[in-house]
Amino acid sequence: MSRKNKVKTEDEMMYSDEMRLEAKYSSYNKRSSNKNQVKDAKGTFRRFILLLKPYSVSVIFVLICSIGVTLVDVVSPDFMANVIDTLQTSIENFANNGTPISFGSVAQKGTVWYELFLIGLLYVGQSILTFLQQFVGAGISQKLVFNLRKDANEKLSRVPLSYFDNNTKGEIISKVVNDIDNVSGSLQSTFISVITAAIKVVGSLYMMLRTGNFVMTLVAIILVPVSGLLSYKVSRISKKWFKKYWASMGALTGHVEEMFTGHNIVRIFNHEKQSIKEFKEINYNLKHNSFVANMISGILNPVLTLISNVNYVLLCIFGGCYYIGTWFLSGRKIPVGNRMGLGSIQAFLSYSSNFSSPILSISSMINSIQSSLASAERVFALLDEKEMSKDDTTNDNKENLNSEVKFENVSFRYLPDKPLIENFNLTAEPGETVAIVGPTGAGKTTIVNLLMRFYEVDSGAILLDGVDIRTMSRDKLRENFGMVLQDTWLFKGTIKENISYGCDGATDEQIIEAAKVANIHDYIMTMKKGYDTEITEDGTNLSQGQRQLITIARAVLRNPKVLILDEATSSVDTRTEILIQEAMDKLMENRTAFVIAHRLTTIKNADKIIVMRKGRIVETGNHESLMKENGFYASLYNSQYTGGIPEDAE
Amino acid sequence: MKKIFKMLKPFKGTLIAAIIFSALYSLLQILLPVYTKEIMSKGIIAGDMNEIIRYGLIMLGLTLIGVATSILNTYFSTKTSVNYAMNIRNQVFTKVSYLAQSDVDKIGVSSLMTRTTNDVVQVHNFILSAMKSILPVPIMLIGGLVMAHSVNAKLLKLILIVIPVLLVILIVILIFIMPMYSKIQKLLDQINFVMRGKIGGIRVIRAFNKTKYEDDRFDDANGKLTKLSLKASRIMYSLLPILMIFAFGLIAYIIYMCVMDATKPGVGKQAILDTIPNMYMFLAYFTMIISAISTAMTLFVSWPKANISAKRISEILDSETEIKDPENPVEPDPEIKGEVEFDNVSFRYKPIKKEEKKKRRRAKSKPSKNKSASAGEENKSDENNGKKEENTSPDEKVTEEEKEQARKKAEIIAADAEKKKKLTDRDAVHDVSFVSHKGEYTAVIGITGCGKSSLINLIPRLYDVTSGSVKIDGVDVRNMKAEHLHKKIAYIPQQSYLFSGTVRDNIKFGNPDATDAQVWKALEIAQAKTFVSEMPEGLDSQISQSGKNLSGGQKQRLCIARAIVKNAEIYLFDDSFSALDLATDARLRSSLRANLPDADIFIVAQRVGTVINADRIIVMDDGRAVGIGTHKELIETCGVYRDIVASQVGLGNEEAVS
Repeated sequence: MSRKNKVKTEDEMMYSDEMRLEAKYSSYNKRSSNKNQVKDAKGTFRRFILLLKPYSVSVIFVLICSIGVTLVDVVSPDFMANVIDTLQTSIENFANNGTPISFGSVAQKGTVWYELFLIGLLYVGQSILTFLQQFVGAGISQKLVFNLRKDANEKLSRVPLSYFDNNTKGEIISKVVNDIDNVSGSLQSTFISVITAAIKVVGSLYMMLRTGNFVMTLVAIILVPVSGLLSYKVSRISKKWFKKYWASMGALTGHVEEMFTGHNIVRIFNHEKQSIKEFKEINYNLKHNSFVANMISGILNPVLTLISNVNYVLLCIFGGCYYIGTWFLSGRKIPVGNRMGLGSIQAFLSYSSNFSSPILSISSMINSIQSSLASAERVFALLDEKEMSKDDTTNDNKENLNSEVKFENVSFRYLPDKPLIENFNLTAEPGETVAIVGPTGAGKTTIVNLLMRFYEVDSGAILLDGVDIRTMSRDKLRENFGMVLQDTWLFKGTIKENISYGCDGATDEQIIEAAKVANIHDYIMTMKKGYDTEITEDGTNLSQGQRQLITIARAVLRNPKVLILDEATSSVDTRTEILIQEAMDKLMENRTAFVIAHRLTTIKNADKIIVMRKGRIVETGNHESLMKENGFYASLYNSQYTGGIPEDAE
Repeated sequence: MKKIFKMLKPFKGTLIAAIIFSALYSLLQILLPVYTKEIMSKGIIAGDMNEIIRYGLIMLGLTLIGVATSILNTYFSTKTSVNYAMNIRNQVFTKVSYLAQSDVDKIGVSSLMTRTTNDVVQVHNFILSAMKSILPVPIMLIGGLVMAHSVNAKLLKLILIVIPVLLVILIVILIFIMPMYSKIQKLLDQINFVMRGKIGGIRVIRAFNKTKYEDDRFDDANGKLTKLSLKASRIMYSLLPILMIFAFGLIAYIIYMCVMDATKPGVGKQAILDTIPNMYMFLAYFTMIISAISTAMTLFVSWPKANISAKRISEILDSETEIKDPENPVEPDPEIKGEVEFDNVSFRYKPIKKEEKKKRRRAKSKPSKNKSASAGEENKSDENNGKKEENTSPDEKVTEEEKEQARKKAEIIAADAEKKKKLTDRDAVHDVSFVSHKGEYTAVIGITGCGKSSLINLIPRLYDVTSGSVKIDGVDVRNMKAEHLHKKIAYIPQQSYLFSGTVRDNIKFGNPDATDAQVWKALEIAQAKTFVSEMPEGLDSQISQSGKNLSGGQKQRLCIARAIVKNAEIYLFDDSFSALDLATDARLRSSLRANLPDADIFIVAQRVGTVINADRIIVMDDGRAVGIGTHKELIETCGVYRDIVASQVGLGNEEAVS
């Protein structure tokens, strides 16, 4: 990781490294830079609208409410204009002739109070409609999120295991939590604002034209395209920079995560300075991008204010002409019928802003629309994931008393062009312990994946007591198995809850008994809260070995017909392993068991030892016969102490 | 927490510029309604086109200046805030980089991550919006009030009554809604958490048929979240229409009052004609005041959030690392190389703080049952504590007893009762002494949780000893600079950890100056040459984050190569062969011996085969070194060791296989 640090200006240095660093954290960048790209915007939008279908009554209700709200916005300047014009006339009369001003009464048509009362009614109506719209709208969007999350979660329960092997945890969680939030948050509001914007624009235009004053109308809208285009352009540019900003934020997060997770390594290898230096470089880029992005989007607002003030002045000038009755410069008279009152000029000011504001807000909203569409697309992609085949329950009621397991001509590959298991045949007699050994990558764990139906065989069949395991439901099949994996998965909860996982209703006595068999009981008792000790989220308050013992206790408690131990004792020291071994021996009595182990001493007593290499069985037998054979097994076995056999290509 | 805001100091210049321009901008904003009024009264109503254009131009001129000041404000405030945020991030990251592992564990990697990223963004956003409004709000508020007063003093009183009413309504609602939002955040965490568990344990969940249970757990959290967010947003929404009606009532009243005031006897003609323009001006200031208040409110609302983030950041910046560099570091004797001495070393992990424990606690599904059980357990452990005190002194006896008990499994289980007593509040490493020299090979063996790793971790000072001392090349590790200490040590962790980047980057992590030839050599020693050369891009092959595209064994070997290329005096292998198959393990050890003749090697191991040829085997049992010696010596003298050998290869066989 050395780098040429010649004399360069700070900026040059930062930028030459930018490419390299961003390439390094490309996985983060990919995630963030793809964020706003929507492959099929139309299709996604259509599908999103379809999601609203179950709530169509509420949606229509919300739509009607928001149309009502907008219509009030559109027409209220006209009402207000009447009030002001009436008042202005009476004020002028009062000033000139001393005619008293009368507000009239609410009941009398045409008076100021009457008009104000009408406006008041409109506003009250609008308030009620706004409330209803948002009250019902919030319900729709929350229910939508709830259901989307529920669907996504249930989907995750139905996708095959390969989905989890091919996607990172963070990505999946982000889809279920962040993306769905994003979808609901903005799509619903943009949906409504797009519709109301349309009404506002058309309505305001109609109201302006209705006055019959085309000149004023033209003046009111003439600058709108300018500002609309401007905000669209600026938001495009700032979007580019915000994307860059998110990319560098991703790179920063990536660096921080790596360095903090590998903290010990960084420290012992005296790598702190280098890591800080890299951090500072990324951080500098982040700063730069964030500055430009914020700056560009920050300029837009004052510029738009300027434009709208120009518009204001123009309207005042033209409005002034209509009020006075002569054109400025030319001095031509304007016919009396075309003249405007003060209120009507004010109304035009309102129409103008009513007309331009939705156009401006939509052009600046394009980013958030894009981003929520992109989120929606990702969520839909998850919902469209291929599911596991439907459970066939034909043989669910069959009782498996003997638990004979048979692999018949099984072939399987994770990747279509990479053969792994080919024509695999194996029979485990009831009660037999079958050990599978072989170098890393030989396909040992794949056998377990197939047996548990985490993955489905490509061809051939696996039979449990003569029944094809595909003809029973996965739940039923898995009920027969107890499994201990190398990867010790514990969840946040008490030790007791962790042991009784998968075995609801186990009594405390049974749990303690299982813990005793797994030889973890005594350790548990040394903890202050014993079985009620909380295990932290990643189980970090237990050693690897202790966690392994708890997962063993879990399998013991389940009392399964077939046991699968996939490197179950790899993290347990040999002395503890002996204890477990005996417990296992007891447990395995009259049970079929599959044992995968690195440490060959632990499987010496197995009834049958399968030696695998590159997806095939190369030797079968028991310890004695295989040693006599003096083949691959024997060399593996001896190498424990000596070393010197050729490395198996992985 | 103040400290965080004090960190603005280096950016005083741009900060002040930003504030000045924002103040200028708001002053201009206050002037604008005056001119709009003039346009209306002196221009339109008076029928004077020249005045319209004159005031229009003044207005545009003011706006232009306003735009300029606003852009300058944006420039300076953005500049200040991004630099400030960059600075905080740099400081936090640098600080964490020099923390001890135990400190990192205490806070947690994910929390440290959010603190360096998210929390800084929160503070940054707050500072940015504060800079844009800290002066404008008071200026607009006061300016607006003064101007409104000059228009119509009577109506101002109305505003003065209205403002507190609005404030009270808002505050009451904030008191209700803010806690809801923090609860919503927690529920989102809960969903995250359930999801994490589900994805991480998918094999186990499916194997144990717990899909339904996990789905229910998810639905529960999801339902709660939905309910609460709905409630919060509905309360928020019901606020708006009330305010709208309220605002319209005020406007109607203002119109009425303006007109009524103008018709009072003794009002001049011009003033009467100005009624409507004055009314509009008054309304403009009214809106200005309201918007100033609402800006202040938003700032107040975002304050707690920023404050929490600032607190979380300063927690890191203020934290005292548990393991500090000495004030007067001692340079080790350059003559001695690779000597490690343990002098009566004892070590005990510090208990986790109460508050952190509390955090980790979770609502239990079966509270009543658990409670009774745990109460019982606690009593028991209290008893054990009592007994422990009686039993601690005859140490020798206990180990002697154990020797015999350990012979048979049944006896071990009988001994567990004894062990239990010792384990509570025990030392992870208890009174261990030995010396290891250059070129020697020391192996540490023992059962899970016996203190093997703890012992090894004391050498690079990942933790500090509780008593006694660990010396390297004659100097107590606590008296050395961490940088010097770590220069001497190469460490291969129990769980292999790689960084994203190429294979070369990862190996050269150990030694930035290593040549490709040295890298290949290290890979060869680590038995990784074959698979690396088979990778399509060799040393340039990309390793994804934490080495996901490699098998466990491959990762371990790369970690070993990374350590080898460092060319250190002392090598620490913390159970670093666990993912290797036996053949590779054996080959690797023999090549290590052959290629690192001068290094002082420590290997934590579980297999007898790994330790059998060591110059010194340390047999750990319950934190104590129950035997130190060669294989031959230990077979004679150490019962625990004899058990281990017997359990793995059978007594007497080990000579044959070694």
